[in-house]
Amino acid sequence: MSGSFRPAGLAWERITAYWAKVLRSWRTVLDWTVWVYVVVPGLWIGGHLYAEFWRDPPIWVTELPVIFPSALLAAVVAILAAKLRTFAEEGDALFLRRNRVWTRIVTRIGLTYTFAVKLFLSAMVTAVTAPFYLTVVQWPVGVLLWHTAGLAFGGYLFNLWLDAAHRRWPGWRKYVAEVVLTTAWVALWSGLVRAAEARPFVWPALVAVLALGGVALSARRLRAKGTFRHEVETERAAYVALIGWMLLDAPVTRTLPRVKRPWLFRGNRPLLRDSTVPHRRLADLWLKSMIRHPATVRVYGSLLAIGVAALMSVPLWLAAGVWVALGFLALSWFHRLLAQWYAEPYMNMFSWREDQVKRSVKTARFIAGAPMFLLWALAVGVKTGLAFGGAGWLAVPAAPVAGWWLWRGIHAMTGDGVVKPKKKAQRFGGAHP
Amino acid sequence: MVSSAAWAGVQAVIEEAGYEPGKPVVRDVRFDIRPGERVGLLGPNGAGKSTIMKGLLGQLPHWKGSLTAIGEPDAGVEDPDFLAYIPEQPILYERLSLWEHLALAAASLDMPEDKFREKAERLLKRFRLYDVRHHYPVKFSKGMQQKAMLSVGFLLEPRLYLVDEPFIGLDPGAVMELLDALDEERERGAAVLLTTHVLDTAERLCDRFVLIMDGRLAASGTMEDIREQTGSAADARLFDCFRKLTETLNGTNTAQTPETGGRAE
Repeated sequence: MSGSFRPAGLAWERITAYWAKVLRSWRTVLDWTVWVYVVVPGLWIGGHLYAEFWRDPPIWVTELPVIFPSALLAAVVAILAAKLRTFAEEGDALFLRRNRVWTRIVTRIGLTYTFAVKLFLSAMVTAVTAPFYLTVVQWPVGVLLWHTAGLAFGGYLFNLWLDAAHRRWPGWRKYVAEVVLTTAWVALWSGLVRAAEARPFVWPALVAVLALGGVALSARRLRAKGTFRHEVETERAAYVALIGWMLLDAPVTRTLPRVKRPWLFRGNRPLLRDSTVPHRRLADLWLKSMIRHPATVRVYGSLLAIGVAALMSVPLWLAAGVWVALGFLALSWFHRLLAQWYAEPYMNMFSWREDQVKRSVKTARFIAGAPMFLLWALAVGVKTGLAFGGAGWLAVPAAPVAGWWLWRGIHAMTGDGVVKPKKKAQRFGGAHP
Repeated sequence: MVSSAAWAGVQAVIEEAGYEPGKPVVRDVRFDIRPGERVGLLGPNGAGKSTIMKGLLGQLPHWKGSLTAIGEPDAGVEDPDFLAYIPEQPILYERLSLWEHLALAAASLDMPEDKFREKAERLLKRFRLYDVRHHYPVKFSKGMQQKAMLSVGFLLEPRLYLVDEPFIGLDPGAVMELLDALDEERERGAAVLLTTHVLDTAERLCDRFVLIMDGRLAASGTMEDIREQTGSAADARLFDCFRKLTETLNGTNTAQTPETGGRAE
């Protein structure tokens, strides 16, 4: 720490330590094999597809109104790196926070860092979409630079709004505020872009207003009191956001619910019929806990969307095989989730009968996968209708019916031996004579 | 539920228990617990109390010992509702409400729905958790989480409770509720093995004691037995016996006395 006993030195040390820690974590996953076999080929193929796309853009791109991509960029800039960073640490409560001058300087550096990140992010997303602006709508480079600056200042302003909203409103209101603010920012930015499109001189004024707004809110933020707990929590969340993806599949990654009471299935409303029967009660509780878990719902939605995209993009004869393969993939994922559930410390406090576990697993995974598999069936039906037309559209109602029986078949084929209750044989008996 | 007809207590025999092969943390500890009894498992930090608890729960990688029913070999020690563990640190699942935690515990015993409802409601009212039964217990305060764990343990109505440091994190009112509930369970015939560092409370609460030092049994029995085994005066408190034992085992007589604040010669 010697040489760092200045607020700026301390802030710099924290920023570098933070990124060193993040990069160290990433390196544990991104080793040379991942680079050689996944990242580099992915960039190579992606780069070629990107270049190919812009060499001869599809017709719909050329007809796209300019505010569409601008609104999308505004949303991306708002959602990514949305936290106001101060690099506060738990230990600051002991001494640092008693020194108001130091705290203000460190916070000011944090605000500067936040703006720098927004500027970098805006530049990146603008660079990716630059072919659209420069070749399709033929903006001059200067206008695109103003657009980038506006995104950066606006994104920073959004961070300040969001930070104030998070400090002011606890619980569910915080999330409502997030949605409202993001929508408001995207709508505002779209309106501003539309206004400035016809009158390029508006751009400097627009950027100046956003910058002044940022400066004013920053000054207000620096004067705010009682922000320490919030800042520490923000830092923790920012770190988790960067490294959490590596641990998504690990049972140790635990996130507490943000509300006191479940939003879904409040008052112990059962999801399944006959949920008073013990194995169905177990399945019911597992399903409810999974539905309440945003990370699981996200993966479920992603798997569903990827499946639909895969089914729609392959030839029809191959789609049937892909459909079945997706079913097995989904089933293996549910198995993993159920295995994690039965390995939970709370679950391990009780002795579970093996037959009870097997029956609950069978019920839970069948019900969890059925909606997904039937929606894939619908995609196959639509694809058939598109391919053959006329009577081919009969596949739309027929495919889900066939899917139901197919799902039952896949389910029956995979057995139930994957998840087993943890043995507690050592508890009683053992090696005593 | 296991029948209480053959229930005459259990005997715990721990020959060796530890976390690594060839490095036992606990050796040659033997004690029994009778129906309706409260037995205090006491010892300084690192003595091996938690190791014994984990061993009895079947959570140790290296364990040579047994927990057997006294008298009747088939008295149900392997039944799922034979014992309930109430840990020092609440063990809860993030995405289930308190009621659902209890429902899971009931499912482990195939408890009929009407019986579960009746018992769960009674317990939650007793521990003043009824109004928050549909809330996430992971969002409770530490004391409320502890009470939630107690509710889960009491729902099972086991014969033997293993209670780890029950007084940490509970306010005085909650401690009284816990003691009342344990008294009721005692009347039902349930036995309790509890670990604690609060010796005064243990002395008032427990019928017998098992004192562990350096992983070995240092003394055991009623308060009179402990006084006798530690060579303490007839009116010595558990705290004094404990101190005497520590001094003897450390081969020193220079421990600080709280009464004098000086050094005993």
